[in-house]
Amino acid sequence: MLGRRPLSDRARALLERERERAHGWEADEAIKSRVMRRARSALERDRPSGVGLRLVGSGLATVTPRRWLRPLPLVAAALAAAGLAAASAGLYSSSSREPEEKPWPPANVAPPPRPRVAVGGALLPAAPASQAPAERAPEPRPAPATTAGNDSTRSLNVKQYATELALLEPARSSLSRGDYSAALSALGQHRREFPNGQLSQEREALRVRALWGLGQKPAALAAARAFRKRYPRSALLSWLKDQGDQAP
Amino acid sequence: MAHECLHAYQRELDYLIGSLRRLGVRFADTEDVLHEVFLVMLARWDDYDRARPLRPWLFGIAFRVASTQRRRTTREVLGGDHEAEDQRRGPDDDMAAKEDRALLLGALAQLPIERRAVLIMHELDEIPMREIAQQLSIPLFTAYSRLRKARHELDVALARLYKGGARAW
Repeated sequence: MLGRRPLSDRARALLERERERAHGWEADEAIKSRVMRRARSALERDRPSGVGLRLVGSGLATVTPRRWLRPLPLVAAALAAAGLAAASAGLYSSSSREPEEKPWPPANVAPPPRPRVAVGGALLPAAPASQAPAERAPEPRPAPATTAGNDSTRSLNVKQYATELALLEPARSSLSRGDYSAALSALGQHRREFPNGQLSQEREALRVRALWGLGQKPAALAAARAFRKRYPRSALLSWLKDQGDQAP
Repeated sequence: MAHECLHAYQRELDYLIGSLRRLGVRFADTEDVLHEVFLVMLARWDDYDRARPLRPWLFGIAFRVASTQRRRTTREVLGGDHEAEDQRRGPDDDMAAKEDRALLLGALAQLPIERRAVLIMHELDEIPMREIAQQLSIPLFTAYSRLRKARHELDVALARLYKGGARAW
C-alpha cells in the first residue's frame, strides 16, 4: 500500500532515537532571547520590522533586517533628503499622500488566471478566499491613516502589508517563471486593491519587468520613465538597471 | 491576538528550531529564518483553526519559509547544501547522540525538501498523513507517494553515509 514501504532497521532505530530526543534541540538562551526580542519589536512597529521586498535574485521575499542594519542611518538620511526634495519640487499635491495614478494603458494579456500559490513556492499562502479576485469588490482600499501609538492602526497596517505581499507574491513567482501575462494580471489585482498601497513602488517596478518580458517595449519604457519620475531616488531603479539587456 | 501568537511562538521555539534544522536550514541562518516564520505566523494567525493541533500548522509555515530561503541561498551561495551541526556547542553532551543526529541530518539533506518534509512530519513528529496533506496543501495520494519515496531515499542515503563512515563524519 502507498507509503507502507518499511524502513530499514537502521533507519528506524535512528528515527526512534531522534523522536525520543525531541527536545534535544534547545538552542542556547542567547539565540532565543535575540529571536524573541526581534519578534516583540516586530509587533511594536507599524510596519512589520524586517519585512522588506527584495527584488534581486529570488525576487519578492521577506528579508530580515540584521544585515541591513549597518547602512540604516544612510538609508534614513537618503529617504529624508528624498522626501524634502520631493516636497520642495512640488511632487506632492496639497496632501502628503502619493498622487493618484493614471490608469494603466491596456496591455495585451490573456484573461487573468486565478493567482495560485505552489506548495513550498510562496512565502505567504494565497490571500483568503474572501479576498479572491472573483468575489472581491473592485473598490480600492484606502491606505489606513497612521496614528502613532494606535494599536488597531498598527494591526491594520501589518495586515494590509501582509495582504499586499500575498497579492504581489504570485506576480513575482510568475515573473520568475516567465509567465508575464499572469504577472501583469496579479499586479493589476494589487493595483485595484491598493492603488496607493505600501508596496506600490515594488508593484510598479515589477510591472516594468513584466511588460518588458511580454515584448511590449514601448509600454515598458513608458512605465520605466513613469517609475523614475515618481520614485526618482528609489533603490529599485538600480535593480531595473541591473537587469541589463533584459529590461529598460 | 498578536500577543497570543507571540506566546505560541515562544512556546514552540525549540520545536521550530528543530524543524528548521531538519529541513536543512543552516545554523547561521536559523535566526533570520525563525523571524520570517514568526512574521508569517503573525500575518496568518487569524486563519489558524484553534481546534487543530498547532505544530502541523507551524511546520507548514516553516516548510514554506525554509523552501523559499533554500532557493535564495542556493542561488546566492553555490553548494553548501548541508552543513554539519554547529561544532561550538552540540545539543547534547552525549557524543553518540550527536553522531546519530549528524548522521540523520546528513541523510535527510540528501532528500528533496518536499519529500523530506513529509518524512519528518510523519516519522518524527508523528503527524497523521491526512493532516500532513492538508498542511502542505497536497493531495493525500501525493503525500503517501512522497513518504514512500522518502523512506527509500533515506535508506539509500544512510547506507551511503555508513559506507563513507569516518570520511564523511
